[in-house]
Amino acid sequence: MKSFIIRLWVIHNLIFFISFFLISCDQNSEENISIVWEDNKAVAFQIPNINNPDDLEIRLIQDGKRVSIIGKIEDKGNQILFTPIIPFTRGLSYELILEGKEIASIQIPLPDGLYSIPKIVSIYPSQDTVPENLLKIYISFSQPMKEGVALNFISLLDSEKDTIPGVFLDLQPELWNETRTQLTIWLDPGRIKRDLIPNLEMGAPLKNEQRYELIIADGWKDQNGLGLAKYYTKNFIVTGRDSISPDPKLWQLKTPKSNSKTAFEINFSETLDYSLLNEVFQIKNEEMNIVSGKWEIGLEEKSIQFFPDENWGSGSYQLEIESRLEDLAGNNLNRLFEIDLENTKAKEIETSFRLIPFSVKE
Amino acid sequence: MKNISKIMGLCLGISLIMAFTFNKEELPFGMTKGTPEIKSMTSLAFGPEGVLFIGDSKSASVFALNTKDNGFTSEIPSVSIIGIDKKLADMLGTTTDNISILDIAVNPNSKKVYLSLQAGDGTPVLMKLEGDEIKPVSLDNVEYASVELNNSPAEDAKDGRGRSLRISSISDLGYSDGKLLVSGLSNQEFSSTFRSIPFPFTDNQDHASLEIFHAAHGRYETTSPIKTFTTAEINGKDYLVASYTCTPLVLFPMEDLKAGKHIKGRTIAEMGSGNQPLDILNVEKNGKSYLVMANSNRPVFRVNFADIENFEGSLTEPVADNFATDGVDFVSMPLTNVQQLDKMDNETMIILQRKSNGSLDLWSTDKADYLLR
Repeated sequence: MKSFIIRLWVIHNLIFFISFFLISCDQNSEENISIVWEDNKAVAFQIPNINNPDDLEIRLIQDGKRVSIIGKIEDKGNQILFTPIIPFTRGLSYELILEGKEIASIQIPLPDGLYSIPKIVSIYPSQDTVPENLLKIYISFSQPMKEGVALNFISLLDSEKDTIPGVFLDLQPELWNETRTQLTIWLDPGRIKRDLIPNLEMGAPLKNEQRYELIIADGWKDQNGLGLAKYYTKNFIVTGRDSISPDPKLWQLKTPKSNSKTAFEINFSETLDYSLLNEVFQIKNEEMNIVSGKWEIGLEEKSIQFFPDENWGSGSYQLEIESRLEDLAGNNLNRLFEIDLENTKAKEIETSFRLIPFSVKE
Repeated sequence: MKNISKIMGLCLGISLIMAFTFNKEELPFGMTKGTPEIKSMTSLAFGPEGVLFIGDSKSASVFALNTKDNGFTSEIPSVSIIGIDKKLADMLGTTTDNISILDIAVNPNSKKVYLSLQAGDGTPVLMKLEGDEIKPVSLDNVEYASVELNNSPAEDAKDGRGRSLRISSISDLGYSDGKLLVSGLSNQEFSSTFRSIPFPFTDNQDHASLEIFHAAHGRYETTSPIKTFTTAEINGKDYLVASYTCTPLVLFPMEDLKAGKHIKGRTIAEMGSGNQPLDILNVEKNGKSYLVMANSNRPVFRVNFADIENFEGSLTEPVADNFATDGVDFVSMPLTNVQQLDKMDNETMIILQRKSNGSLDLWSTDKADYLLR
């Protein structure tokens, strides 16, 4: 039923796009006014030369009202360019007024085609078992998304399908990657950190041995104003607290053979942080030069493989791991997320890197 | 041959005259003229002489913009803009759900209010109030300087320390005593860096960068990102008053903020669960100094600085509405859903507030004496 409704919605929208596209093309050709596009955004109107560009006014038509919008008018010789402060909004209509008379009305078309509808590409951690002190969740999207609204769309249900309040940290501005395609969501650290008031009042956000469902609602808009067409869910079960730092000494290495491009593989035997895994590894050869190649994260972020660009030569190598690598509970190679100051056990010396030597044999 | 040397001499003469005539104008604060490539305007703060610091989370940089809005006035404009989001959306030719107001800052000299916005597609916009009108601030061909907050991986590798915390979001900016103060968050590690950067900016990138820790009941120590902060003088000593994302409100002596240090703040209050600190500032009324704090899910709190000065302990009780703790009295003000705060002068605040009827209003407290009574 749901997919049928979505299909209907898509067809309806396609007809909508096409009809308006035709109308706007028609108007544009009549008036020779065109929309200037950059990165899929309507950034300006290009207008054939007019005698008195200072008398040009662009208005937004909305709810039957017309309001003048601000922008820059530039005389480009045989063309006049009107650039609004922010790109024109898709789906909205604007009219061009010259000396008090309307010369054109243009609707900015919604993005066309099914491919431009944003999707969720992945949710990390990808495995369905997480520790009760899970610290963060990453959500990857197919397109840059609108910021500042995440918690209107993300919720966590318990096994009774009831929404659990106050699980996520309401942080503004939100934490997005540079391309606005990956969002970091913190589970409320005030509730995870032991002995803080939120922890004492409400307890940790997740409880051991409980099942949960993460829901990401449809409608969350991307930068072009198109919403997620469906909702996404991820089920997981919670296990005990993770209070142990990842220890590279316990990792299993699978070394490659020389004169091949076979992978060098590291198995962590636990899930580590997806985003950090992408950045913290490096292999150096005997001359301490970085070996170029590609890292690929394995199933459930429990392993990583390195494929060199050139064949492995036989000899000694060194794997360098930045100590900031974390597990799912925010424990990094140097220290735990929470350090118990009463635990007087001798602390290891903090280092920026951990090194693991290995050799490639013929 | 003679001709050649004459021509060469002439050329030399012309170039010397040109060099002197077109000598580059010396701009204040080591700024250059041009159009800064600002990708976002997450945070605003005023520095000296009309310099506006713009925190750009997207490029992990801070830009210092010479607004040239430096005439001093002690007169506070009375501001009351009902439905400011609708007004801004209309001017920009879009809908209210397509813009967000990310920060407001008042120029301490001209008392003009500046607003940073972001459109749904990420385009940043800087606006200011001129009387009752909202006007865009052009960033074309302006005087500016900038500082990058993240070392490049190559720079980090040089000193073998490994990568320093990559700032992906600037949570707050401040300026105090010749220094730009920046708190930054990472989208990978639940840590915080707090940087103190001398202004005018220099090429020396070795800013004081420190790691902030918090110890609950002196027992569990965790790294603690700062959400918002202000500086204040308490008992003749300069302090940083900061609020963590995990809710405690803490004090750091400014003299302790030294590069590479591992420092812990003294907790003066915990703001309770389900709440995020949004903005914090200090105001004066009838000779008394107050700390005012806006919260995501609580009313605005104020606390008398004298109480903080007299209180030397470390508080771990939650702050409830009108809750008087042993040491520090937090009083909730009749203000809820305040999204942004700044001060226009020592006694007047400017407030961006979502009213109960849904309207987003920007208003100054000049006619709201009751707030600090």
